[in-house]
Amino acid sequence: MGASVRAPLSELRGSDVDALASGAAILGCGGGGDVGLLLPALRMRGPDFAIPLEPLDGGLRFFTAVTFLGSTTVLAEKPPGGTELPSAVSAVERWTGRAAQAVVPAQIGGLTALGAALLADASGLPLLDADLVGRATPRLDQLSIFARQKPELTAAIITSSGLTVVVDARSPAELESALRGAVANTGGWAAFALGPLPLAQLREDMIAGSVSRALAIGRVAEAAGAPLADAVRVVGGAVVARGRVLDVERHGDPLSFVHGTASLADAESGAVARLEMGSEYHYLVVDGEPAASVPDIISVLDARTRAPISTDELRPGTDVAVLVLPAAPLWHSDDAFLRRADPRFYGIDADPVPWAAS
Amino acid sequence: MSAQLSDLLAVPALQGARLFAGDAHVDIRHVLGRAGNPRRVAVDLVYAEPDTLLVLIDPVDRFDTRFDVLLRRARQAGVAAVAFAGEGGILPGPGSAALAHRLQLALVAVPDPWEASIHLHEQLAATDAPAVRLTWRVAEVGLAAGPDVGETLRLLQDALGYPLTLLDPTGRTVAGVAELDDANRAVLATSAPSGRPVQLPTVASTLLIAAPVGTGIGARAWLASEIPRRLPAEADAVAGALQTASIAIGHRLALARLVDERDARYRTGLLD
Repeated sequence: MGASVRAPLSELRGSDVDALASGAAILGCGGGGDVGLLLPALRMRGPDFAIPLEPLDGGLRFFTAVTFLGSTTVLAEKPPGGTELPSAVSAVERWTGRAAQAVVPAQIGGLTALGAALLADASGLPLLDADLVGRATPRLDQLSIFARQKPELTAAIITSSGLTVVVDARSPAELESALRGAVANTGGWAAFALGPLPLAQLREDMIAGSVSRALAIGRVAEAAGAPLADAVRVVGGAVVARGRVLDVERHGDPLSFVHGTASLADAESGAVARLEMGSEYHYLVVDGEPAASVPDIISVLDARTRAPISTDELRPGTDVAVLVLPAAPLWHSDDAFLRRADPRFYGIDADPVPWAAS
Repeated sequence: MSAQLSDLLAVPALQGARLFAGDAHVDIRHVLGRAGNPRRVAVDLVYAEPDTLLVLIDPVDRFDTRFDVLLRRARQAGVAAVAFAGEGGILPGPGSAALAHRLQLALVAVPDPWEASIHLHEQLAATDAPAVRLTWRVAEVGLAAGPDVGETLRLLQDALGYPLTLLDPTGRTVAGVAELDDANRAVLATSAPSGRPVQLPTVASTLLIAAPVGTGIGARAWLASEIPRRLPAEADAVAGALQTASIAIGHRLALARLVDERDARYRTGLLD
């Protein structure tokens, strides 16, 4: 990974928001929700606003993790009003009696990164330069802090219909199923807050530098002139496949993790690639050889505009480039982490393909 | 022995099989049937004989990355073609077809993979089983058919699976579609009266098999059919079946002649 990814930042400025959105969209791996929903709200703060960005090893005691749950399609049709995340944080603070000293995006991929930044700006809290996934992920019980520890599980959701639900769960799976059911029956999406959680206890199981990484990736993607393949090398990635989408098949079970497959052919080299996808892109095969898999980051970009293409927007005939970036090292460091994020977790009967940029 | 995939697909027993992607002119020497999902088959497929046709016995539920990986492993193992259940299930998409082209693999959709694997094996192993089955079927039809020559020819043709042509002793077409060139006609006209079928290569790269039809009187006729040239088992089967069919046709011809002669005598008698 390039040095620019790890360069510590002390604040997120107004001039950073476009790069943050771009990087978060790539880290969304085809899911995570449309960053364009919240980008205008951040842009409206103007170029001079700044949000303090705290490193994980700072002196803060408690943090709250936030994200959005539910259908990103419904979220696009019924966008958040801006009060939902602050209300969710207030709900968990009221219930636990503890005040959050910082907010962290539960996942850096997709619109959560921007939501957390807006929340930090609105609440006056610093934004932790971290997250709990390093990309986007479909389930709450996949968050990294649940892999080896059993933190207190107090969470709140504010549904799109205005309902507040606070849950004290006994396990991440219980939290996931309880809230997912509530969201499905109360409007389709909800703002989510978990915590406040003790930073000292969970620090080792969090992904450090996620906001900085999203910014670095976003700047690389937005850099005009340089070929994409060269540009992404700076952030440890590579364009592993490119070409025109031949077919996109979406299976009948939208509740399964993997419910689609798409293929593309490179007219120049003749290579044929195939993606397995659900909420995100999970698995990539090139000419029949496994090339990349979750938990590493597989993102599909429009070959002309470099705009990330979500899994539900992928269409035959589109010229695309498939970008692979390494997952946060934590996911490959311990089997406890990997088994929450490897292909088999998603129902793909295949071993993970650890990404090693050449 | 080996055979071109296109020849194998032309065998009536494999009716319904169709080339889905790739080149039909690849040589096939072996058939390998494998049960299980594509991932399981791919894992087990370490080595196959060169020019193998891999038959996936179980239907493929999704033509996804597992199928792509299987195609790759199959090619690496020496497989030249992959057959899958193509009836009543889903079919591969353009991506699978593109990968098959890329890997120079043929993809074949078959109605019943298990049955297809048996028929393919029989063809390539040159066993007697297809000949026995075909002769049996033709014999049944020949016994059951009525006295009409044309009707018997049609029923035998359906049983045989190939077009049947009735030729006169000089090789000229009496009924049916095949037209012999001069060289082959000369061969038939001068062949020794052994009673055994003759096999003649045609300019269309097929094999014409002609069995003599004995009527008891007069010169022999011929009952002929054309099949793909490079399938010895199929050639033997058709030759055997034609011998049986020729008895049935000869019998109907004799009956027809008997009726004609009786009718002629009756009409002659009316002149007295």
